[in-house]
Amino acid sequence: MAGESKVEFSQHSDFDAFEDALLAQEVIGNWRELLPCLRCPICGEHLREAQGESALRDAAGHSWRVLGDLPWFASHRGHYHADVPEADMRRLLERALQGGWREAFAALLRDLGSDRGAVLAENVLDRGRALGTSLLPLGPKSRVLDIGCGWGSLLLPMAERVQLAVGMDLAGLRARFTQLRAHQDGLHNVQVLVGGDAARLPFEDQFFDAVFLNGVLEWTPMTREGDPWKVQCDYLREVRRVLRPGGQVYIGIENRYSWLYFKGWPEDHVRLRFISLLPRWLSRPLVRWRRGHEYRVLTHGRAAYRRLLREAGFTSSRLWIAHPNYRVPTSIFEECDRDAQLALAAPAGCGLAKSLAGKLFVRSGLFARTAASYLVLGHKA
Amino acid sequence: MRAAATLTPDLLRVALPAAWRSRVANVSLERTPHGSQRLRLRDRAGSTIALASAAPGDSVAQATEGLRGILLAPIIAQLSIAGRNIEVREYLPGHTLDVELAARRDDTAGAAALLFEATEILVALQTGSSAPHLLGQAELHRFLHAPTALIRSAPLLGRAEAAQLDSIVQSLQAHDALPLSFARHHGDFQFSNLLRTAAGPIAVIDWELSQGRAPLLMDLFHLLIAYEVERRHISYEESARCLVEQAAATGSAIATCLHRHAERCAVAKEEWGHHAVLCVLHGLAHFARRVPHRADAATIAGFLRAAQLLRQIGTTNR
Repeated sequence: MAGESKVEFSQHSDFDAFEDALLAQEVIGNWRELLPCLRCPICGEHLREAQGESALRDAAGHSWRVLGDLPWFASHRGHYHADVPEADMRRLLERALQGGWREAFAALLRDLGSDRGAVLAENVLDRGRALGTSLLPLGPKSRVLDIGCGWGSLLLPMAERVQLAVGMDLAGLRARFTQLRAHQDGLHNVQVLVGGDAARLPFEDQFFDAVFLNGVLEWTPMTREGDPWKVQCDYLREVRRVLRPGGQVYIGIENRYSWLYFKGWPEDHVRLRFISLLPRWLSRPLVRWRRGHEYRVLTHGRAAYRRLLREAGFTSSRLWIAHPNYRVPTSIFEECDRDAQLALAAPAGCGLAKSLAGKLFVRSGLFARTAASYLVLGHKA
Repeated sequence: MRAAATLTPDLLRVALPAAWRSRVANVSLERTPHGSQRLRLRDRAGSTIALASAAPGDSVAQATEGLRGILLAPIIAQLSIAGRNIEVREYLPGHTLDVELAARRDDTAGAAALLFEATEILVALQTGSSAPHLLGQAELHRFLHAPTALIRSAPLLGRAEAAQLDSIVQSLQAHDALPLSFARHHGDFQFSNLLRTAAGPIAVIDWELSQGRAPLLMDLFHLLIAYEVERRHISYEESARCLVEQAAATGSAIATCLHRHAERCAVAKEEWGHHAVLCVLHGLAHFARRVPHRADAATIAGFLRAAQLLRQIGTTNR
């Protein structure tokens, strides 16, 4: 994707978080404030702090560890997946615990070198990544949940204007860093949890005003079994459960029919050209053949996103186009806003041929259909 | 830290005066070049009719009060959303002067003429500037300590740069009090915010960073740093270096511009150096706040070096 460099050096590895000294130390300790609203992600029962051990238990006997400051609701004990190597992430955390996250992060950038450092600096520090959050009416009394919060580029700017900002991520070490960063920056209303791959979200019903799924929904079938469409739909139903009436879900996601894919860019998730443009009955065996795994990271077109939200029980939905993409948008406009589209497709001063082609592209509706990515808002009545 | 509710496109529509509400067909959200947010309102024909952004730090009235001969976009509405002031201004058709400046990339005399034109507008904007007065605690906090704290909190600030910053601040504080002239402040006075309207006169747009009244040279330094950035598309750090070189070179466009401005606004020789440092710190703080991922150690060091050199130039040449 244009301007997209997030997974250029993504890393996977396994470690045992339960025996990890970096996660064991409790520095912040504000997770207890969240305890009354926490529920077991297996059965939905109330959770209580277990006496004498760092764990949460429910009446049915399910137990969840609390590692330092992080309630651990993930099914794994420490799978590592982030955009820096695990050793670097560990060094970052060690330094952040000792001398503050800023110095630690600056040192990491120096270690990574100018090119990779610049990409990471933008991923972590650029506040413009949170532009889309201004589509939702958040106020000083709002409670928000950012699923897949990563480095906190949406979560932390939002935390400055809401009552409670909860982040959830499957990458434990990165979640630890985000929590530390928030704490050291004085954002004491931020709580980060490790989780997101269980059947249920670990929160009580109707707790949040907004739930953010930025670059997350497409990945949900990777950690759950069953038909990917049904998995995504069930996940959204679960999101709907934790939203209060009138609350909204925010989905930042690629368009399956992006013009970039027509142009030959590899699909963002399986990195194969033209794959998302093919019918599923053809693309599935192709991905299995070329990549050796199932094609489960599914994106859709705009009508399918609407249908997905409808099937999940959201009463209405709105679709916005994020230009150039949903991760670092510079402008966000509705699909019906043809002038905003014209300003991009046929900017003032471009030649006659480009202007005519651009106008045709917009007026035929092709611009909206083939936008690179969307922000989809689902409203719970 | 806790501030405001969000001004969403839907909320803005509802908050507009009725006559305008019926005209607005679409509202889109944008990120401005300096990193803040703006809402663009379009009518049914698809033309931009208004822009909404954060109101100036001080009241709009204070920022633009008594302006004569300076064209401003009329205000449609002033809103307060959970304590945050928003200003909706009518959109003026025309083209911004950065387009003209970029077209004069290789025409040094033409570019200098445009710089002088912009400086004249700034002088007109700053009419009624105050005589130098000693900065009080509140002003010291606003124009020295607050920007310094922002720079210190830049995630990529290195130890050497932090020490350099400390030494600059200490040298300023060594003076018992800083005598400075104040004037009306725009906050982002550069060619891309000067709009040559279809009718001819130049309008000054995008007042969202205005602080009402501020040290006199703040907008001028901003303009001079933006001059080379907008003309030759170089980095801010490089431009700060150019500014230092040209300020010291008698007869250069920048030196002439500084000289003319100092004459017209009667800037005292002894306050020039203080202005230079405060202005650079202010610009750097703004940069570090808006685009922290670009405020790396080298950039910060470049700005701080520029501040020190400008101060020297001020004390020797002015």
